[in-house]
Amino acid sequence: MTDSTLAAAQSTAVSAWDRFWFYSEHGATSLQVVRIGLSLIAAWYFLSHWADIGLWFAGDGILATEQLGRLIEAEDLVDQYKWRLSPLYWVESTVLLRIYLAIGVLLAIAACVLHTTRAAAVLLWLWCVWLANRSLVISGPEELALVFGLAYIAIASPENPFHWATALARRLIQVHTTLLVVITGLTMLASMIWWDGSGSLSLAAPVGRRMLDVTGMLESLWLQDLVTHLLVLTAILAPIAIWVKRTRRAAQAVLLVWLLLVA
Amino acid sequence: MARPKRPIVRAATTTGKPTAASKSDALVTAKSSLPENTDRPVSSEPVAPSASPRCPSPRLTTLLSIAIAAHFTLIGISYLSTVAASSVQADLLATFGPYLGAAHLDAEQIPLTLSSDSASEKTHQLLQTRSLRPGDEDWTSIASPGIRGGDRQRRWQRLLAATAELGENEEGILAAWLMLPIAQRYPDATQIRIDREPDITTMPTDTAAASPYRASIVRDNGSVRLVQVPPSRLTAPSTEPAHD
Repeated sequence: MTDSTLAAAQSTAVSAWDRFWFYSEHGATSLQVVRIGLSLIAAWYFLSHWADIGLWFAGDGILATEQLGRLIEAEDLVDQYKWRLSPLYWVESTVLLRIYLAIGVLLAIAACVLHTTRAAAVLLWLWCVWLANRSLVISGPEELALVFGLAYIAIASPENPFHWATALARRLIQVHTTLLVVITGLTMLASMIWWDGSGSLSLAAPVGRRMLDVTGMLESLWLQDLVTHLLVLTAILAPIAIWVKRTRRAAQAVLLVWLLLVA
Repeated sequence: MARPKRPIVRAATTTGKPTAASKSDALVTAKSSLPENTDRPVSSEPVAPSASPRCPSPRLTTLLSIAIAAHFTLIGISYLSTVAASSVQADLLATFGPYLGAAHLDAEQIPLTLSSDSASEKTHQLLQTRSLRPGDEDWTSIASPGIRGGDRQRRWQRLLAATAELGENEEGILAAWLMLPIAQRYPDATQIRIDREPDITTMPTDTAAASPYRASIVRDNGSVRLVQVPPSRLTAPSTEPAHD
């Protein structure tokens, strides 16, 4: 290959990459829906802590700073958790903790409503990160998803739907969500229950932790096996199929059903 | 990827210098070699980033591209390490801990799998008793906060699961640190214990197993201590002959 054709090929590859990450094709409508949805979820996240924040994080709480520090040191987890920074480790008053939550709710509303500045979205993200970082032992994958979603939304331009930052934010959300769901599917394969067909029952069995009891629907062994295999296949294949135009609608519908089932 | 319409070798003349015709050919080649991308705009001419108001400057594009690649590489490694991290993964995650940890991007200690049929996924129950007579305890359940399956209850369950695991691993002191604030809220309680609720997948042998964590509450001049009660273990009968 000659130098000029190599340069042309490289230019093409760079352009495709740039086009994927920085070209804003869709209007702001799609990101606005995501922004409002994530802000509402963030508001709910803060409100859900309201009743128990003192029980968890106050000076005499279950996860009081001193107590948690001793636990982490005793379990030799200092290196793992030393970067989970949060100003809430210095707050022991239930009143101040509730003020923090109230500010979080206001920031969530502001992020929905304000279209002239990124400040509200950035602050909302920080507020969620700090609460999630404080919630060692009791946090889960829902905080993980909320935090990265808010981070990417904060990158988008709130006033210009055609700005490259908006396109970048949309792609970051799409790629990260794809990665999360696909890897969830891959990690499921580490457990035998997702091979031998009993995974669906294992997921539904702890009825005390589920809003709905669906174990009655899984009495048939054949249905158990089918649902188990579909859960794994959907997690691995549907996020990839979404990227193909021909299969996008079907993959979105299947993934939505999957999310409702596992939630 | 679509094949170019004309041989690429025609992009250069015999002198090695590109001509206007060969440049045109190169442009056609470049256009036709673009992958079928559903999000491609109608015009597929490669536009220099600096010429388009929709793209950042070339330098910023390069920096952002490197950041994006590094970011998702770390995210992928972090998520994949939730099953079992290799030493390479652990070293990488430790090196970039300030970024991943501070931004709450790492999935450390968070199981991403939907279920692995582990004991920690069962529904846990916290019980307390006021009875002082061993074997005659009247255990009552401490209600978990929130609605079933809600966020509050989920957090409570994670606490109980973590404590039960510490109790099973005979780390009673660490479990006590977690349970002490709860014991202080029940001044009349003499013991607390954590049970795993049997469900449709629970084996009979698991149902008969001892509570993963059980502790006596010792109150002395306003201070409160929890002392783990070790589970009764099955023992073989003594082989020593009985003495008359």
